[in-house]
Amino acid sequence: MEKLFEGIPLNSVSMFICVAMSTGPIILALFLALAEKTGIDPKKFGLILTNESLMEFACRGTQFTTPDGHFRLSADVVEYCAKNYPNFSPLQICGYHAREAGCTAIQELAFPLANCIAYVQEMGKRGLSIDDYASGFTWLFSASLDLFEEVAKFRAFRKIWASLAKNRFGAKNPKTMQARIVFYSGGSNLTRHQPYINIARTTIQGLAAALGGIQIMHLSSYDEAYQTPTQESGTIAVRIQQILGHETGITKTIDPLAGSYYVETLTKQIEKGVYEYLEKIEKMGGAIKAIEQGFYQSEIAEQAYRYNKEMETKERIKVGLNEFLMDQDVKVAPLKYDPDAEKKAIEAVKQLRKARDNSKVAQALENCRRTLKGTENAIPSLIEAVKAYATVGEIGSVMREVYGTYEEGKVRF
Amino acid sequence: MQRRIRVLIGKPGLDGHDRGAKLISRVLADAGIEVVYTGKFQTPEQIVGAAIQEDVDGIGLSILSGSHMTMFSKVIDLLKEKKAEDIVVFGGGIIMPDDIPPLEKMGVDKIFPPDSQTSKIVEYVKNIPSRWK
Repeated sequence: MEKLFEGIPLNSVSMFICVAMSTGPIILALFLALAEKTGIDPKKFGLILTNESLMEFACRGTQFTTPDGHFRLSADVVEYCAKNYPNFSPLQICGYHAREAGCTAIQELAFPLANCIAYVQEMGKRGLSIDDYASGFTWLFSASLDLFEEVAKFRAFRKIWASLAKNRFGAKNPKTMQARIVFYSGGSNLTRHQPYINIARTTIQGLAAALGGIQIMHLSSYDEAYQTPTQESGTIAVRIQQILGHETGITKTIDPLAGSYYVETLTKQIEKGVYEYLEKIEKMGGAIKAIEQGFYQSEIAEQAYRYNKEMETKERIKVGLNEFLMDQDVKVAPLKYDPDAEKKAIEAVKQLRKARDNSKVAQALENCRRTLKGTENAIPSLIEAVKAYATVGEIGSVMREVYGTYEEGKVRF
Repeated sequence: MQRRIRVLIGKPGLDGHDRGAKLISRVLADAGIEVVYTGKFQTPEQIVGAAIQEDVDGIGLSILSGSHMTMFSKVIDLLKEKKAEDIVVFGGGIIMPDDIPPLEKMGVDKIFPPDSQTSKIVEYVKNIPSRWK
């Protein structure tokens, strides 16, 4: 962490966005430990943490331990930030990963909303009201190329969240009812073949999201199907956003497509579909139960299968992929990375273990263990652990000791 | 009557994205192939162990993390070690075109890059017996 931020004081950047679902609690601890060590007040910078780990079990798969363990830790982060750092955004509820894994627009909204309901209920148990923390939440969504469906989807979401926050959870603060949406263009909509045409695709995705009402945008680079972005492809993605923002005029009006008979019809249809799913999940006992029973997973896999069938039968056309093919493919400039990176990383951890006070680490990890077994907020114990230079792996092992290892068995198809 | 083809679809390493592996498993099963899907976070040892135990004809690895050179190499070495080289190794994921020749040289029989048509994968797996040396 210190190496990463060498020369970048935490208060020199207005906002950090950290894609850290299962590692959310540890990342929070790392930021706070670094702030303390470098003498910077954490109230002087912004931090957007993902920290929503229920989705790991449904479709992302980078969890340390069980749903119960992660849910408790994610809730600890929300509570800790609400009480100590309200300038931080402690939860980013994601539909993005489920959509990328294959689900529909309606499911992309319903699944994360159901997860959020679980967090709000938990915070209620901890004595917090929704206005105490939820204005800091952000939401992460993808977008397909179905322009009008996507506009309607984002509009439907804003309406549903505002209504849930106000009518179901008693929000009084308008900021709580205003969803802050982070939009990340879905790479699953891009192709490996004829990659440059992906530039048009991400432009359309960005356009739809902006017209639908999102706040933060990230567009994929055209070489998404090949590698992590090069300088060139990443720059093009940024320029597209700049064109959308500065040259099109679409940001001058809020909800410019409101009143369109088509968009309003689609919006209502999506709202209805989402509420139906929320009711279904409620009947199952809520998000955690639904995930443990594999409900999200089976819905997502079913849609992925349907989508593939539509492509195979050409019911769905994908330009350059199942129609308008070309023999000669463009060669994409490969990303150059250090072949010794793995060796260096392993060596760095070995050096760390030699240089640190290992008895302090053991003490700190024991403290984490003890805290996790109880009900006290675990974040302070995590801060002590990272300050002692316990590794992410070591902390993860303690989580597994207390909450168990989440295992998926073999599946016979 | 011809024995049905059996394959193991595996996800080695820490890559948590299993949309492809699950889709391929189901599409192959639709075509009458017996499929065992290992689930995520498998070591090469676990994959090879399961493949031998399940007596499969082929192992398909799904790798989106960029670690394909290492993972395929380990699986092939283990199959050699366990005298199970008759199991055909194939796979897919985020694999650059330039990596395909070295993988094939290593012993991987076929790589299906992103956007490969699932019908072509089915055809390939059905013809695995023709790949036996």
